[in-house]
Amino acid sequence: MHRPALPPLGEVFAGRHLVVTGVTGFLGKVWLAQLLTHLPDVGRITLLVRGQRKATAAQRVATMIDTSPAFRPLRHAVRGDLGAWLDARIEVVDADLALPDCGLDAHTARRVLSTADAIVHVAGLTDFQPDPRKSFPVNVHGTRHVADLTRFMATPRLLHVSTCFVAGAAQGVVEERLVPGVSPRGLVFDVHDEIAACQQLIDTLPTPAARIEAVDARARALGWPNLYTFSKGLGEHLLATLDVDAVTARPSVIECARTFPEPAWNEGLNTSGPIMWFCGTAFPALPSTADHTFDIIPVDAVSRWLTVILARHLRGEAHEVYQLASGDVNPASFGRIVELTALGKRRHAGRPGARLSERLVAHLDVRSRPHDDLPWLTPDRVEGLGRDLHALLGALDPTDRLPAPLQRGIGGRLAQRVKDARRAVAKANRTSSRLVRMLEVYRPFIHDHDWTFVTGNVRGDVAALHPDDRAVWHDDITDLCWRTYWLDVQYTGMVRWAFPLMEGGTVAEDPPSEPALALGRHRAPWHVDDAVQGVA
Amino acid sequence: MPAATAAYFRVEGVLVGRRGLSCAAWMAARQHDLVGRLGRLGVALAAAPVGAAGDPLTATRLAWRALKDCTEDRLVVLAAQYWDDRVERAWNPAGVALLERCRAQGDRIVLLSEHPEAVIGPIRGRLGADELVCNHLELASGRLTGRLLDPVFAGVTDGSWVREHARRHGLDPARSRAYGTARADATLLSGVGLPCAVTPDLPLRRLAATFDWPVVEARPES
Repeated sequence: MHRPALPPLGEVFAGRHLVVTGVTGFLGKVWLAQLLTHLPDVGRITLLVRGQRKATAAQRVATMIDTSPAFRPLRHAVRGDLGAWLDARIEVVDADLALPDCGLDAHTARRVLSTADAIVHVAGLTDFQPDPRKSFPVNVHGTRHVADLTRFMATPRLLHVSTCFVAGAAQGVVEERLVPGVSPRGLVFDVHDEIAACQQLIDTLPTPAARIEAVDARARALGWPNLYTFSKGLGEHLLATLDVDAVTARPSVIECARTFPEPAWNEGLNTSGPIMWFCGTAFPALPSTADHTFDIIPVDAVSRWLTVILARHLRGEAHEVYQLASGDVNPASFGRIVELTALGKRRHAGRPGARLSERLVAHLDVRSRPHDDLPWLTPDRVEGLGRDLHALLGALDPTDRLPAPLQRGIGGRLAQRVKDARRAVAKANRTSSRLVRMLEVYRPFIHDHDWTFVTGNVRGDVAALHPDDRAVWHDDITDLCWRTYWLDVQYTGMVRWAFPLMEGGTVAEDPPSEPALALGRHRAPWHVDDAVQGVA
Repeated sequence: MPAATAAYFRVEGVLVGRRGLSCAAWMAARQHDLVGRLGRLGVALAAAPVGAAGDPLTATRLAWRALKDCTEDRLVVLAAQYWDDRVERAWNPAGVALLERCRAQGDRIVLLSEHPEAVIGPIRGRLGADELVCNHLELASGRLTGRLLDPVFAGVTDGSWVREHARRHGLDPARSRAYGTARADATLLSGVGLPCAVTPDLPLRRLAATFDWPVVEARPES
């Protein structure tokens, strides 16, 4: 589809006021860092961030910009006093998405939003199967509360970040549209009634497990495979019933950065982290469908595209829905991703200083195999054997069978050995259980469903970028070589930023500056205006 | 103006102390699952006696059958690893010095290798050669079929090969050089005016003595 050419993004964003949620998350960080680094003439960015017991919202943002690798390019680009530079552009407002109007009082809401050109709602809880008492306040009610804030705006515009996987059971080719009130299974439903019914379960059921089970059953009945996609889907359907000029951006599986802030940067575990970690175990097969598409998109591509979509939205030219994915133009199959992960493991194990166990496991290549064709060695079998062994060791008292003199001599040591072995088995069982649970949660995405997300809208808008913007903002996923990306970017990024977390360790951020960055020490122009308005 | 000259180098033995068959076996041992690996290794190793029996062409074809169904991704990654771990550690300094001397003299540098291009391709840039004659593995839908694309190179077996190559490139075979290391290279050496045996095996050493070809003794780095 032909799209009108975009003027330079610097012009589109100059002097604009944006209100943003979710900047402390993986995508939000990269998007904010990229915007500030490459479009420094943006007028004002108000960040809605939740304060915590140990740090105010402003302190959280200051620490994030000071120490997160996502902001390295910005810290490098800004010469002089970074605090003053940021104070001239960003304002941090303590907000809680779970509360009506995100917890802003009417005065603050008016002050913040009356001059806003758009709200960019990136916040969301991305756990696959969380307690709905945690996910609904953010992904469902939070979306409503953010949308409600647009009533304070002169031109109410909202860019809402959702997920491609709201498609749920409607597999195959997924178009860039939403049919309000029709679930992925094709059932007509009332989103307000559904939210109320879920909320009643959330309020009345006493345990997280009971809440997860009950709400998950409702999700599956409508055709959403888990609580994450359900809550995001409800958020989209809810928005469609509100009088808001909303544009929805749906990324697929967001993974390590290709170039910004730097190659292979990643935060947290992401979706592929547990899968890749599984491939590093001795299990010979990952239960998955080899020829299904694993739709992956680098975080910096999503970030660039969000900025382009926002530019369109600010100019009143945006489509209603954008899918940010790769599978329709450059698909990577599960079989290929599992093979590349096995090769990444092999290559990583060949580095100097690799442990012997790593070198041995590297030769046990994992494959993508469907559930009905798995080899004998699977996590559930190991879990079962582990449980039996643990029980056996629990019932075993080696001192019983020893003659009295030996009992006195070695009985204590033997009993201790058995106890140690039981502890080791229990630890291994915990790992097996985690793997079994992970595979259950991932099953709809890696085994059961095969989606092809149409991405024509964003590709059309990216193609219409001004020539001067192409170097920074153009990201064409069609030229992405999955082999290079997966081995040199994704695997490297996971090893550096994610696997240590999965093994119970930590990942070091950048050291804070001296003195540590603080926000709000310099008065920005809008503070003066606000003061005048306040007096009036 | 006289026709240009070439220097033909057999990669295996002269420049690098590795054989194509050992590369195929190395890769076969790095395929999926243990049983599958053993089977593939068996196929690759079966090529050795076939080659020793005087049929290098069949041996080469058989050796690379061992990689049937290997993904292109695996081939590329293993090939890079093989290059780094094996080829880069097995240069024959004397052979490389000969090549540099020929290049300085203005010879067209032609490398002849039984390795597949996926493995040995980087050698062209690494040594600044003008041409690389080697094998090409056939791919279909991202996987190896186990076949080599024709023409399969397993050493120069046809006496007219050098003449034909020289004619195509306007070269003078009588003033060109060739460097080989095994009996199988004798056809190549006999096709040029300036042959040279580099650390030859016994049969080639005897031939070199018979035809009065110069012999260079050199050992690879590992």
